[in-house]
Amino acid sequence: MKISKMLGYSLTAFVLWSSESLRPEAEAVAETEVEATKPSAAELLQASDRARGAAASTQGLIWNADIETIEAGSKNQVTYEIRARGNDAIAKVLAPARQKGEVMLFNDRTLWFVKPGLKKPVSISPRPRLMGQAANGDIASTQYVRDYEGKILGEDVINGTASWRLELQARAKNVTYDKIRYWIGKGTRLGVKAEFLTVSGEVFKIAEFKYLNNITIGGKKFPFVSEMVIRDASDNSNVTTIHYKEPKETENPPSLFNVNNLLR
Amino acid sequence: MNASTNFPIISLKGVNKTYRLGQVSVPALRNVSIDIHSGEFAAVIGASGSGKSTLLNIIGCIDTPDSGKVELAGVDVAKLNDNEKSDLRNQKISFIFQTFNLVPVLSVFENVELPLLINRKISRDERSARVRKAIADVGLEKYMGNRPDQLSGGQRQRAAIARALAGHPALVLADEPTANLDSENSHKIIDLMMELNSQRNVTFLFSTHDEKLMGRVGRIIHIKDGVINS
Amino acid sequence: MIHFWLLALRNLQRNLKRNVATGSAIAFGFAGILMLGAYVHRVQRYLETHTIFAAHTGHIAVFARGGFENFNYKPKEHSFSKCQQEVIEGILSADKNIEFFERQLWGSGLIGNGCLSLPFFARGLEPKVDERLTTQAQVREWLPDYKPFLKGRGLWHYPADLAPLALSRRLARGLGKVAVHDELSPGSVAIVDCAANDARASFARDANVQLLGERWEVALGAADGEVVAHYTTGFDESDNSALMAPLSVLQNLYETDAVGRYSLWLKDASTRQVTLSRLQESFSQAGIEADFLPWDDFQLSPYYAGTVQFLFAMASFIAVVMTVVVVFSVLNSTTMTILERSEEIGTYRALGFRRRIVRHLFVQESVWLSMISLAVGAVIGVVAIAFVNRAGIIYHPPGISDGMRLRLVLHPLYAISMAISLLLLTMFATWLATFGRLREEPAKLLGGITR
Repeated sequence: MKISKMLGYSLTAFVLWSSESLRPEAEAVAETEVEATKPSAAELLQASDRARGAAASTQGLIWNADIETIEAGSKNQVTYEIRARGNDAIAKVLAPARQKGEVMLFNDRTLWFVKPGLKKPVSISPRPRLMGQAANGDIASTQYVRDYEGKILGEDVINGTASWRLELQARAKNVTYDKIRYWIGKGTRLGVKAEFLTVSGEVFKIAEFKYLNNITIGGKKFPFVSEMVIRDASDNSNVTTIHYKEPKETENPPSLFNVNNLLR
Repeated sequence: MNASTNFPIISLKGVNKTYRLGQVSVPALRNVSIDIHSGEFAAVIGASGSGKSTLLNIIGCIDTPDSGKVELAGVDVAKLNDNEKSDLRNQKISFIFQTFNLVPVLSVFENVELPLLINRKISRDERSARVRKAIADVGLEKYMGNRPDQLSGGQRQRAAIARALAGHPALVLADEPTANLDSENSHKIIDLMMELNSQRNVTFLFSTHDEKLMGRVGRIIHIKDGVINS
Repeated sequence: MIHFWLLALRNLQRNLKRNVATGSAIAFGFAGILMLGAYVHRVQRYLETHTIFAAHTGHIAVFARGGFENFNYKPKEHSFSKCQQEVIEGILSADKNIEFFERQLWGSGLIGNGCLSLPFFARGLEPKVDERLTTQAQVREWLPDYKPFLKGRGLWHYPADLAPLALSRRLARGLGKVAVHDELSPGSVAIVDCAANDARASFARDANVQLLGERWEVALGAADGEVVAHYTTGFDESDNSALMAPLSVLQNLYETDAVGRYSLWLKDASTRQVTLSRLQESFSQAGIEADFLPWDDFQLSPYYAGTVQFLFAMASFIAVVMTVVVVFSVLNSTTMTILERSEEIGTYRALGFRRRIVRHLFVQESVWLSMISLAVGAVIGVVAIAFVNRAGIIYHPPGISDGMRLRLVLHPLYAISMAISLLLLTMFATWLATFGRLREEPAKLLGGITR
C-alpha cells in the first residue's frame, strides 16, 4: 500500500475516532445547557415580582397608581402615590379630595389604615376589597415569592406569549389570596395573567398585566408594570384597572414606614 | 178488697222472658197470661227463682218481655218509648222494694217528695200537702225530718210506702216488702197496705214467699218455674 | 228543680274519700294550668315588650322596597334617600296613631383599638328615641328590671361629636376596652406599643376605638368612636361583634345621609293593621315604594315569633296532658260511683225518672265537685304564683340581654276560660260515664233477676 493511502486512512480513522470520543461530551454540554434554562418557581416569582414593585433597591421605589373601577355601570377613580422599600410599602391617596390623605401602610404582611384626624391606625387585612375588583393587597408591591409556595405545572400560550403555568399556594393566612394560578412569560419572566381562586378552587377574578414602563435601579433598566386589569369572573362588566405611572427609584427612609409616625 | 171486674188494669198475654247468664239461658217466665183488676189486693207466691220478681218487673215496665203482650189500663206497653214508660211509672205505678231503696241523704219528707218533683202537673203546695198526708197515713209524722239511717226497718218501709202512695198511683207493686222485716212489722206493713187498698181502691200486687201472708190477701197467684198456676 | 242541686251537693258527702281525691286532682290540675298560663302570659308579654321597645323593632317596621332582604348587599338601592325621608316623615307625623318613630341604619366593618381589629355589626339608632323607649309605660310594667347596659350609660347622655358607642360585652373584651368613657380621664388617648408585653393592659387606658367600613360610594371610610357603654345581646353568636351607635356616626362612616328603615310606635297597637293599611296607601300616593312589616312577623322578629310559638306549643301540650289527667280522674271516679250506685239509679228509674234526669243528677254532682275543686285550685294557684314571684329567681334565656326575673302574671280571662273549660270537660266526662249504665233496664240496675 502506498504511504499516501495509509495517511489518508489514518487521518480518516483519527477523524472518526475523535468525533466519536467527543460526541458524549457535546451531548452532555447541550443537555446541561438545556437543564440550566428551566427556572424554579421561586426564581420566576422573584423575577415577576421585581416588575411589580418588589425590586431589590437599597433606596426604595415610588410610583403613582390610578385605580379606575366600573361596577354595575358606575365609574369611580382614586389616585395613590405608592412608595416601597424591601417588605414595606405605603400608599397615600392623592385624589379625590374627600379621600386625600388616607394612607395604607404595609409592614411585611401587616397592613394599617390611617385617615387624617383618626386618633389611631386601624389594623386591616389585605384580603377585603379596596375598591371594585382590587383588594387591599393589590395596590402596593407584589411579593408573591414571599407570600406563596409556587409549583410549575406546565406551559401555555397566553395572549401570544409562551408562558410557564404556576400554581401558588398561600404560605400564611394573612396574605391576599388563598390560591393563584399564575402565568409567567418564558422569555420575559414577567407575569402575564393571574387567576385568583377560592379555597375550593373556583376562579373568582382574573387579572392581566402590561409592562410598558421601565425603571432604572442601581443603574440597570428593568421593565415595570404599567397596567393591571382585574375582572370579576362571574360578571365581565365589573372591571378594575390599575394604571401604574412614573415608577422610579427614590430615597424612602425607614421612618416613612413606621405606623406611629403616621399619626403625628 | 174492692176488685173491679169491669176491666183489667193489668193484662198479660203469652208473656215470655228468658235471662242469659253467661252460656246458660234461664227462662224466668213462660207463656204467662194473667189479668189483674182494679182494686185487687193480690199476692204472687212462689219459691225463690220462680219468676215472681220478673213478673212484677214486667208489669211495672221496668223490664221488657221477650214476647207476648202487656197492657196497662188498656195501653199496650210495647208501643211506649222509654220516656213514656217513665212517665207511666211516675204517674200510674209505684214500687215498694224489699230493701226499701230510700235515698240515704234525703229526709223522710224529701224521700216521699222525690217522685212528685218530676211531675209538673202537681203544684208546689199540692205536692207538699200530698207528702204530709202520705207520711201521716203511714204514721211517720214525728220522723219527717229524719234520714233513713235514723229509722228502724219498719219505719223505713213505711216511708217507702208513703213514697209509693204520695203520687196517687193506680197500681202499687211491692217486691217482697216484708222480707227484711220481723214478723210483727211484716204484719203491720201488710195491714197498712190492706187499709190503703180498701180506703183508696189502690190495686196492690206484691210478691212474697211467706205462706203466712196467704190468708190475708184477696187473690193468690202461684208461680212456679215461670209458669202461673191460678 | 233546686232540690236536685241540693240532692247533688248532699250526694258528694257519700264516698267522701273518693270525691276528695278526685277534687284534689281537679284542684291541683287547675292550679298547675293557672301557673303554666301565668308563666306563658308573662313571658309572652315580656318578649313582646322587649321586641317592640328594647330591641327598637317598633309596632311597624318600614323598609325601602326589598330592603329587608337586600339592604346588606346593596344598601344604596334599598334605602330611603334624604328627599324620601322628608316625604316619609311628613306622612308619619300626620298619622294620628303614630306616637313616635325612629330612623335606623345598620352596617358592618372593622373596629380597632390601634393594634388589632375585629369585625363589627352595628346598629345606628337615634339616641333620643332610645331614651324615650326606656320610659314607656309598657316597658315599666313588663320590664321593670330592665337595664339595657351592663356598664356605662345610654348614648343619649353624650354629645354627638363624641361619637359614643355601646359595645357588646365580648367585643369590648376582645378589644381590651374594659373601661368605658365615664370611668376614664376625659380626652385620654393611649399610645400603645403593639409589640410590647403590656399592650393588652394599655388598651384599657382609653375608651377610644376606630371604626372602618366600606363607604357606599367607593373605598374605605373610617371614624373615631368612644366606648361609653357595654351591653349584651343575649346571644353568644352576636355578643362578640355587635355594637350600637348614633345614626349620625354610621352615616358619617359610610358617607351617606340615607336611612335603612323606620321603626314606628303606635298609640293604639290594637289598630296596627288599620294603621299599616293606611300608611301603605299614603306611601303609594306619595310615590314611595316601601315594605311594611308588623313587629311579630316571623322574618322580622324570628326570635320572638319562634320562641312564643314554641312556648305556646309546649304549654298547650302540657295543659292538654294535665286536662286529660283531670278528665280521666273524673271519668274513673264517676264510673266507680255509678257502678256502686246502680241500684239507686234503678230506683230513680222505677220511680219514673227519665234517663236524662238521672244523668243530670250525676252531672250536677260533678258540677258541684268541679266548682268547689276549681275554687280551691284557684286559691292554690294564686298562692303558689305569689310565692314564686316573691322568690326573685333570675334566669338568663337566650336573647334577653339583662336576665329575666321569674314572674308569673295571671290573666283573669285565661283563668276564667280554663275554669269553664275544665268544668265543661268534667261534665262531659260524667255524661260519658253515665251513658252506658242508663241504657240498661231498670230491673237489671235494681239487681233482681234471681229472685
